[in-house]
Amino acid sequence: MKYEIDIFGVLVPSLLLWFVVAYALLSLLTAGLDRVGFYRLVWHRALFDLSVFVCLLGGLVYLSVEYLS
Amino acid sequence: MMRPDSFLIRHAAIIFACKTFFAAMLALLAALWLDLPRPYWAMATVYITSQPLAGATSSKAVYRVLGTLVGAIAAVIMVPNLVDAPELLCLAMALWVGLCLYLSLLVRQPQSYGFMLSGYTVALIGFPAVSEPGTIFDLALARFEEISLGIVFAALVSMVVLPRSVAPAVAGRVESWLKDARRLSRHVLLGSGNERELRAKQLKLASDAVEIDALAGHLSYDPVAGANTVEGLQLVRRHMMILLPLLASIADRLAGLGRWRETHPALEPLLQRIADWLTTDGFSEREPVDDVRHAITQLRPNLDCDASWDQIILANLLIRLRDLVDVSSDCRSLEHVIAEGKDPAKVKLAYEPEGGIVTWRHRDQLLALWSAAGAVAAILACCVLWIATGWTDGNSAPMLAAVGCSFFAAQDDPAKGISSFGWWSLLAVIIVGLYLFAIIPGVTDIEVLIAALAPTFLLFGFLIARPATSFIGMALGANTSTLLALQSAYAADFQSFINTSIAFLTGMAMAAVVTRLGRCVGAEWIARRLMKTSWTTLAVTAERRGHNDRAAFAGLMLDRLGLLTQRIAAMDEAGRSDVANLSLLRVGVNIIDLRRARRLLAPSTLAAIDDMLTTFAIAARNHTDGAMPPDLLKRIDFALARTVEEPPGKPREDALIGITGIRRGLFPNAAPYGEEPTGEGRLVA
Repeated sequence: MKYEIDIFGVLVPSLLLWFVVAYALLSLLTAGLDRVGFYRLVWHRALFDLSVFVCLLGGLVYLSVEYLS
Repeated sequence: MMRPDSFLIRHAAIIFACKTFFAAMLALLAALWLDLPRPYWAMATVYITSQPLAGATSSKAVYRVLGTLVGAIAAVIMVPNLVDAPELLCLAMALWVGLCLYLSLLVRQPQSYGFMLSGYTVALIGFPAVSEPGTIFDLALARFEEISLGIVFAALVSMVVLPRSVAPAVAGRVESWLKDARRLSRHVLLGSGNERELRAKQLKLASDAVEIDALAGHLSYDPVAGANTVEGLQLVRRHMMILLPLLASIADRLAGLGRWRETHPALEPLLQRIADWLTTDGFSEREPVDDVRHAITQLRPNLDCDASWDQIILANLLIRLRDLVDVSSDCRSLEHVIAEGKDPAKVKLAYEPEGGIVTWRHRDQLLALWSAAGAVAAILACCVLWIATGWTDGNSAPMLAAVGCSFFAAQDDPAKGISSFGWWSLLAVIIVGLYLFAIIPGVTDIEVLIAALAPTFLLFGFLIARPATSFIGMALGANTSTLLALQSAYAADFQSFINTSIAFLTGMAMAAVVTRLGRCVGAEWIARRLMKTSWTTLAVTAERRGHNDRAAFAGLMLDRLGLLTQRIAAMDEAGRSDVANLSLLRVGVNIIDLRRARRLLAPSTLAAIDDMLTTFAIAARNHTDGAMPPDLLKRIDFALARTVEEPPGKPREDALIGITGIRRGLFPNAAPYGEEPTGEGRLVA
């Protein structure tokens, strides 16, 4: 995995990119779950969302190590 | 004289925008001229402290200077001593921010701003200094100088250039409040308008009173307002506090009399007369107060040994009507005095609240502590991220977490405020990017720079001036001027700009996430706590402990009531109607009256009353939902029976009225006293 990405000559940590991607995925996912009424089963919504975010981020980083490097 | 005034008021937002920009540029120029290391802080400070009203700006300014000074001193003490152990230093700073936030949430006044500031100033000065602790003293001093400079210019310009005092704003609010209150009184007296509407109006008045209170908190710092006006407004506010429970009592007694139109035919013309008297505006057209008072006294029944429940309620109603007339006539004369700018101490007031100035406020220790703990957790989470990743510019993350948590801690759902602040900051980052890399490189001297900044910052000032957008304007103005980092020489490089911006947004995001995790309680929980503490206060009052001052008690309960009103949507039905009828407040005021009167009664009556109060105190302490124990009703009736047998006189009358009020407040649906009790007590009306 590359640790830094080159954007117009500026080196940005690649983790930042995965943060943004994971956040976008999370927004889509929570909107979908909200629509089907999944959150009625969740005790602490914020905690649940944060955990899903960590899972998504971890998954993205793992995949990027596997396939992009 | 009329024209320029109305022009100033109509275009107040534009004038405010120009004034603020002017003050900001003066502060920036002065800071550049003094060769301070970060002149942009002075400019940002102007945008943070400026408020459309002069008193508000200067009260914010006084506490801001004090808070910054305390914060700077704390940073100078903490950083050099703990710099060898960054984890410990972070912990110390986070705890300091938490402590200050806790204190500021308890105070809820202009002073609270000072506490909050001394908290996050430590974060602002301390975190950047961790990498070079040797310079901490210079850094703290420079930051203090820059911030003071900004405050001084903001206050100076707001006071010197077309000042707008808080006093007319407060006076205007008070005037329209009193007008609404008179209209409500008319509805109550004449029984017009449906109950739902009356309730809604009453709630609106209660929450308006709290807002006026917050606005009036700035009055004593207003350099423009005269001392007479300020004093007059304080007096009116005290009268306003008593007006709402009075009206609620009158409505309740009328309901208690039942078919009073048939049983007491003399009452209707009297009510009509009082209603007309209340709503007639001109001084000369109104009939003299003494005539109205006389008419009320004439109707008063003689309460003897076998006075019926009906008669007791009627006597009670008439006393409350008399109080209403007194309070209302006082409000009229005070309004008159304020408009003329005369000394309010010379007005003879018919209704004198006892004791000194009423400044009782509701405090919630647990909630304050919990919010403070949330801020500490958010700062520590950012510190872990910063130290663990070895990210050099990461120090602004904990800094922003401290600022974000402090700013929004007082809200019911701070996470929402923090995240919207974060999104507006993102916009600020984009604006700053445009300025730094597209506009400023072409600028050569300071005049052109000011011209280039003008359109954006004038717009921010305009946004601040309008109440609906003032939050957005503040977020944009403060963040843009901070991130722009204007210095004597152009020194922008893209790398550090990106780094700072990311750290900035990370801090905000972290604050939002941690707050969201910690504050799963919302308005509902807070409302329930408010009700619970109100019941406890009642229990304390009934247990013959606590303060004895009627107006102070009413002030505290009304303050809570206003806080409850803001959260009315989150409450259950029983709680909602308790709030709307001010029943807790009324019962409490009656208990205080009763406790005063009972000392002059015969020992056996006194014992009966004390027994009743003790039973009530126990019931109030364990109160969870609507129902009150039926045993209490029996004790109330027993006390009432003993009191009726007392020899005639003022103590007996006061006690009778107190007990009646308590009985009506707690058991509005119970059968009238003296008849066979059938209905069980429920706290509804």
